Amino acid sequence: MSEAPPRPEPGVVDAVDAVVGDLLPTAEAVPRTQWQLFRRRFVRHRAAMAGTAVLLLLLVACFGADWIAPAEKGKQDLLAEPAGPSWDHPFGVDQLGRDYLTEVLYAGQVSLRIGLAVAVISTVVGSILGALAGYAGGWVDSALMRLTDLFLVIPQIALLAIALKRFGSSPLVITLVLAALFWMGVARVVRSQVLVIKQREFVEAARAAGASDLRIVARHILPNCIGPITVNATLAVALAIVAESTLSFLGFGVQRPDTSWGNMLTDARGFVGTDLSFLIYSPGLMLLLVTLAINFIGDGLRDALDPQSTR
Amino acid sequence: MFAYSVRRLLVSIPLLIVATFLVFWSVRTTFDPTAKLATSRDSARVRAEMRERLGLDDPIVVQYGRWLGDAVTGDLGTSTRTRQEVSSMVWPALGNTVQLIVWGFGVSLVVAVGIGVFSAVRQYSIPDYVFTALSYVGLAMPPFWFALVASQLLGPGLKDALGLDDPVFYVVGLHSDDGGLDLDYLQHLFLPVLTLTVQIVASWSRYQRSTMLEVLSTDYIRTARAKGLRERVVVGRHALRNALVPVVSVVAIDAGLLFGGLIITETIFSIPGMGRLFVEALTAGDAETVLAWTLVSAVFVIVFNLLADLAYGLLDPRVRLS
Repeated sequence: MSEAPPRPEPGVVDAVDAVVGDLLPTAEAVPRTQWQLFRRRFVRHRAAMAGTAVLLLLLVACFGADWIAPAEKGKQDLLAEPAGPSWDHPFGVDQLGRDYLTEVLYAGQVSLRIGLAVAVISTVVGSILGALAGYAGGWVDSALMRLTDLFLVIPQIALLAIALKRFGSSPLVITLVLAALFWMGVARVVRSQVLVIKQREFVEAARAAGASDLRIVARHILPNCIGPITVNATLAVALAIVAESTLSFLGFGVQRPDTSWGNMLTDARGFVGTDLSFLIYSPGLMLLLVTLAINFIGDGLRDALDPQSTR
Repeated sequence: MFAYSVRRLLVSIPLLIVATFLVFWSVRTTFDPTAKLATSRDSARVRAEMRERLGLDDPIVVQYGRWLGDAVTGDLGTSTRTRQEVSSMVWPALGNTVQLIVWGFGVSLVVAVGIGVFSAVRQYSIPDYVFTALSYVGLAMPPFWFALVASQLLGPGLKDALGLDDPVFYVVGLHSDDGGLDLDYLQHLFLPVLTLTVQIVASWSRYQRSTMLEVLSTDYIRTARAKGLRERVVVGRHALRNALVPVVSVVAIDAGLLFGGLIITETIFSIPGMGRLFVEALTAGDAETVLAWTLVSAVFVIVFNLLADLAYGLLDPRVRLS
């Protein structure tokens, strides 16, 4: 049987109709695409916009550190006295005479890169496997559910630490190990969405029109899960960054000479209660800012992608 | 209910076995207990002898079976780090950890439910907004950094600010004397428990707030008010009891979080409990202790989930556990 002629996806049309009907007064019913509607709602979400601005600023500052940072990476000035924040050194000078702002920015590159990579990998893998489990059901589904149950039995941070001991702790391995644990959360969410969506009429229509299973999942079901997937992917960035920094803080994550916000705090920990205690603040403040910004963006995305949801 | 509990526990046994097997495999292929003999004289022969004696050349499943069989009888092996019996290290550590869990759990539950109910009853009041803002920060704050900042500001920082000779809150250990439930104990307990609870309180209180809001808008609450019941009775007896039910399931899910949080808390505040034992053992490559830790934490999570299920049934008579 030949493919149906190209026409708007039934599911998408449904969703747009529902949204347009809710949002716009009928008098000025200008047709808007789903994307435009989403953008309008997101831009109006003040916290999410603030989060976006902060996150972009931090990304530019960290990845542009080569141009922005006030000093050279890791450059020690053994004659410089360690000192608290000043105009010349906004984050102070550490015990080895390094400009602490520079150190924090370069460490951020590692933390942010790991967080972003984990989110991308775990989202892709989790979405595919979750969709498969939800759509196919049967043993695939029970295998996924048992597997995720299994990993709930042992505290995550311990599992990650053991895995890093086992497989090494280069940034690449850390990314893969974190992704190996994080995909399961996404998979569970996608699975539960797919279970609902596959019962809908437009899926039945697609099947009646002769679409293959692959086409149904890829073109009809997954696009309708885009909301939860996006929100989860966003929050995964924050979770991954915190997990990485916690592991690095405990000594199982990023190892010297690589620096991340986590292992900078390991070094700073020794200065609690001394004159150098200011060293504990800035790397953690960056972690807090990134996580807060991402959580706000996640909130904004949730509200913008799913207008029916209430908080 | 008894039959239900037994069945639940039986169902978790395969889970427990597979989970500990994975860790066993991982640890056995990572740490070589004979590694420290590498520099001894005639090392190849000595190491081969030791592998033979420890049964390290057997298939991994056989080794696992032997370990599990010993563990069930309470023999957790000998630590390669301290050369002590692992069980003699685990029990005292577990004692300290249980104190933290009980306090941490109790404080979180009371504070989170309190904040949640208050925010829901006074929705959109200034305290509600303040708690909302705090919960955003609490959720975003990495616990280990919170612990560092708290130990600086409330430990030596507070001591200097008040000009005292002794700190108000201690940042090391659980006792400075020989123990007992006294002021000294509470002074030691405050910061670790604060660290352990801050993230949990932030998340539970949000959840409690939203379930409470939902319940407060139901018909039976309107009925209770219409009957002329005092607001305290309406909120405390009619609303709260129903609003607690969904929270209990969240509490169960967070059991692993609580046990994982101990790793950070105990490391930072130098409390000789399970979390610190885990970090020290893993850092030193002490396989037996890591395995014992895994077993204990898995049992803890499973039992905790079961208790939450039972509490669910107690709170909501509509839930039939069968």
